[in-house]
Amino acid sequence: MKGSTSRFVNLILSLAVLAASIIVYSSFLRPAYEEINGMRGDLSSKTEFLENQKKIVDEVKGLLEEYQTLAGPRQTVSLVLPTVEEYPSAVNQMSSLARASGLVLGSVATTKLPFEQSTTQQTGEPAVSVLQLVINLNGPYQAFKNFINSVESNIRLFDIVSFEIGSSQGGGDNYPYNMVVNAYYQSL
Amino acid sequence: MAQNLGSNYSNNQKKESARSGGSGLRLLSFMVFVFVVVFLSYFGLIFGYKNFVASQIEKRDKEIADLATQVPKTELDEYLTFRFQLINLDKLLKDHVIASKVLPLLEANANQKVYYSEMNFQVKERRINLEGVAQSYEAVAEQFATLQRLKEIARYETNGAKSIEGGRVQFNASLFLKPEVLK
Repeated sequence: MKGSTSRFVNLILSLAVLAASIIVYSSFLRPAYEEINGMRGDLSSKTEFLENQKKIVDEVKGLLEEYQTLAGPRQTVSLVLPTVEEYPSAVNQMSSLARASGLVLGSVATTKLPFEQSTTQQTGEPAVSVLQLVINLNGPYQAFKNFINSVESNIRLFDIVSFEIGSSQGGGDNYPYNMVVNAYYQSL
Repeated sequence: MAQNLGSNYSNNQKKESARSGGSGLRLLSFMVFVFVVVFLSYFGLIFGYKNFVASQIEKRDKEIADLATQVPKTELDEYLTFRFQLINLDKLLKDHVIASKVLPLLEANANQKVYYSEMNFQVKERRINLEGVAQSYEAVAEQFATLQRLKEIARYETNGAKSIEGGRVQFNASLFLKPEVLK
């Protein structure tokens, strides 16, 4: 009788301890494991992100080192397409080209125009703006031809929008010219 | 004899009782062991592994933040500006046209009996508006015929001709160039 009581008590205690184990497992251990599993996933993705970023940073450093060696081309590109409108420089260049070609520069008017955005333009990409110059000139026809060629081969990119040659003034080789030219700059 | 049998029975019962009590105790011990394992696993996870993983995450965050400072922002901005200058320049040069090509074209195909008094060229439309004076209507017709034959001209429009003093003829025309002419 004493043995069977002891056996019964042991069985009850065993069941109680088993129940406690199940409760601790389901209420504490399993949620804690799931939480830590989530943290491990987070750690794994951050480690992967870090590795990718390290590769990108290495590539960027390489590009920057290469960029530092391109002082000449950088300067040339900035002359062709400046990062500011450089209105005085554009007018000065027109004046110099006209004088060198043998024309008299009557007037220059400038207007800032919005550039037509390309469909491939991405967000954050610096846009190109237009500085339009309306020029009045006078002089011989051959000089005007030279002037047009000079404008088209100038270091700063100029696109001729239109030009007009008027009637000879006084019957000689002296014509009035109107020209509309677009110069560009990259607005940041 | 009977006493011996009774004694044996009593001994067997004691052994059976001891065996039953021992197996119950072993079951209880095993259950306690399972509980201790579960309990220690929980505390191990919470106070050991979780802290370790959290510290690793913190370390990665710091490394990621440090990585951003490894590239100087000024240099990066300069580089990006240069890169976009090249991209934008490429787009602009694709649309760049040589407008000066129209003057030699008109000169080479001007009739000796005709001179142009005014000229206007609209690059986007590739349209040349001409105003000229010819010695006669025949000279005007010859000039138009010459222009019509040019492979550079997509089409032309005459806007009229009229007689002026000295028997000469004043005319207006518009020429439309093919796109490839200005490239």
